[in-house]
Amino acid sequence: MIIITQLQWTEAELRKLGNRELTFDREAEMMPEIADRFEDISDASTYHVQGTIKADGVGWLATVRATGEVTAHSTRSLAPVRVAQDFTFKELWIPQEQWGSEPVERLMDTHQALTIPMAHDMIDIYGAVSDHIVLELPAQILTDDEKQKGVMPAGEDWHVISEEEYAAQKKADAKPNPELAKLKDLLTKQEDEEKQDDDSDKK
Amino acid sequence: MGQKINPIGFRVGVIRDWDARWYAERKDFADNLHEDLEIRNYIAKRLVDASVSRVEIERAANRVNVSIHTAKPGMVIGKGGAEVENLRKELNNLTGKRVHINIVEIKKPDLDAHLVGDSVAKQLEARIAFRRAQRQAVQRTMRAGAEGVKILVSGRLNGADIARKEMQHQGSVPLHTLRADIDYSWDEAHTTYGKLGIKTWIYRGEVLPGQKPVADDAGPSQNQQRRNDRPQRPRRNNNSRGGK
Repeated sequence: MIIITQLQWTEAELRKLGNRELTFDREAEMMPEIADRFEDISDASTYHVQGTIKADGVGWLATVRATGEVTAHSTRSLAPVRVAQDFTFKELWIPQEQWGSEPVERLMDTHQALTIPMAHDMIDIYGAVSDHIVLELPAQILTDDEKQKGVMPAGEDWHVISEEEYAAQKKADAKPNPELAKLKDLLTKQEDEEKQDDDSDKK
Repeated sequence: MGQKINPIGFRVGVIRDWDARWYAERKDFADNLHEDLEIRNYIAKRLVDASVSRVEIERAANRVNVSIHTAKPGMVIGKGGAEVENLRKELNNLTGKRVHINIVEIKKPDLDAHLVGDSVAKQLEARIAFRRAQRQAVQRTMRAGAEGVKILVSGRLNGADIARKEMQHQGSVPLHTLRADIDYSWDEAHTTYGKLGIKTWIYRGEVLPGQKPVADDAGPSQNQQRRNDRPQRPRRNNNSRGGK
């Protein structure tokens, strides 16, 4: 059985609207869906979801904006960090029977919006928003202190360094041994001497 | 040739450095090589969720320096450094040598092919629509300053009966150009329908031999700089085409 939440519409419901645009502006509790699928997010606020759905050629074009907050862990210290989100996305939902047809294939290459197949003849904005909450999460999350002070932890025989520090370390290690540096000219000197010998032999 | 060969192996020694940097006499070489493999496998298994991009190993006398490049140093360290202390002790036991661990925090994870591929794999495992995951990864990589990106997902996409491949790309990825700093990765997502393969190519700009790779710089790449310096050609007005 499919339970329809407030941010899901069946194709039949949308067809009744004809050429008119469906506008929605709702608050959605995202945590139940997120907790089930993503371990990295420990908490999520209620999301304010607004947007429109309208018929567009073979499918339905959904334009959605969502705002809210999630709690994730700092990538440097694992401390909890509140991350504010405000994102917009455009998706073209295609009925299952049309999916894979030639006009749809052409649309996929040309349409600006991302084409998504409809499952169970339904446009699932709730699922789309929960997907985007995770997709919009930055790859690097830092607390305010970590951003400002840039403190890196260290311990016995281990330490955290930045890429710049690591590059500087590598450069310092790559300095040639002064005793071996003298060998650098050895071959060129030998070659010069050999050349001179050859020239004198020819003469 | 550049289209078939592994882009990383193709560039090692030209614009890319080796991940193992040590010298050994003939009798010790095999032992050290196997020890390296054991260290790498152990770290890959233990830090599977820590977004580890690569592991560099250096050796000096009875000491091994292991540099772990990661986007999430917190996961490697653990609470109060407990995890990394354990890891160091276990590596000491594994090698019988004194191991020093450098944890290098990756500044721009969106420009690292393995981290991008791995995040797409995790998103697929969490049942995110593969098109959304692919599109978002491409856009984020381009926003982070890449000059081109290509992501190929293959397998039973959306649980379809027949396996297929779908690719999304933006910008250029000149695989045959040796000075092009191209990062490549192959990752796997384990879904309920089986395994999905994710291949990622990221073109980070040009590097001349002996120069530092562009990914380490915060500024624009050589190509981007050149493009910015170039005088702008006036654009044709599309509205006037064919009009009188």
